[in-house]
Amino acid sequence: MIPTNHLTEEQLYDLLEPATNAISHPHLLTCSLCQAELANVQASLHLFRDAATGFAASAAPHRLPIASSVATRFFSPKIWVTSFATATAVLAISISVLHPVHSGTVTAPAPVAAVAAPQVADPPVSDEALLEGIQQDLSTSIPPSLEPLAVQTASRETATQN
Amino acid sequence: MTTALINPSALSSSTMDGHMPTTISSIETLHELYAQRIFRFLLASLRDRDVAETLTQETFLRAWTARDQFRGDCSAITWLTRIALNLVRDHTRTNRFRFWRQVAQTAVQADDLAAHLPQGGMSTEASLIAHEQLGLVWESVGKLSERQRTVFVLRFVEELELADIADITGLPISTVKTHLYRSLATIRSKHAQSFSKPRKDAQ
Repeated sequence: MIPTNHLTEEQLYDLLEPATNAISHPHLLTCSLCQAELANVQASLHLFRDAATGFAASAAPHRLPIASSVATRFFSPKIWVTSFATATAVLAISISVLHPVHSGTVTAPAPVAAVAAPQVADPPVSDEALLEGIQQDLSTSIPPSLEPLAVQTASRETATQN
Repeated sequence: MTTALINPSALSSSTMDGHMPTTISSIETLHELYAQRIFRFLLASLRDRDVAETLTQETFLRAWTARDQFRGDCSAITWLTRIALNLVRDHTRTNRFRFWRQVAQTAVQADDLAAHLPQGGMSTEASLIAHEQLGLVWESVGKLSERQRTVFVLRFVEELELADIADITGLPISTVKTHLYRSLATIRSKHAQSFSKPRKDAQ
């Protein structure tokens, strides 16, 4: 009997799995074409892996450049000298640019300080004194701030009574 | 929770016990153990020696920078391969034109790979056949889409399990399988063309 349905990709993949026993597959027992194809693909994949492994073994970077190159770069005297020169230049430029800007405004904060100083210098008021003041305010019928108005009202009332 | 560090003694014991390391304490050890595999994956994916070398170093640099994020949920090689794959994606997408120009200059050909085939006890004829077979696979893999090639290389070169490939690529296992079937179809058809040629020539 000549088989007509050859292996599908799914079947081929399953047969490529190492755990699969390809010999026992029913189609392979009768189809020499699929037997040859399976052997061919298997061999090609092995060769591909072996060659890639061999190439990687010879060409892969054996040394880690991160630690070595970063370390040598960090501790290189050239880098330190360049960094120091750059830092000095930046500092010099920033001083020369910022100094004239601030030189004219040195006395500006003085009024603020003058206003703020009395607030800080106020003597602390004792609790007794504060209470006494409040009680005085409450005991007077007219608050001190309204006393001028009260005088005028009283004079008007006497005038109308007359 | 195991807290084995990646140093030679801890790693060998964790490998023997099948436990995953949960922290990364030595980049040198990590590089020593996995640089070749990462380089092989990048080389087979990008087919360019210089780019593969650069991205191998970049993979380890990124791994070291992000070592605090490694919790040991997966193996160190799975984690590194995921980083490498992200670099491949970034590289091919953001530097597409520069990448292809560079590939044209420093591309790895099948002949370069064939030079590294094990020759032990192989006859001249067998060596020529092996050379031809390797050339066919190399050419076929070059024709795969980026995703198909990644999945194919992870399965047949790196020999990772489907679950690991799904983890690395972020694809469902069913999609990983579909990519594998398609890539096999491409390789199969290339082989079929090659084997039908001599018969046609003979006729």
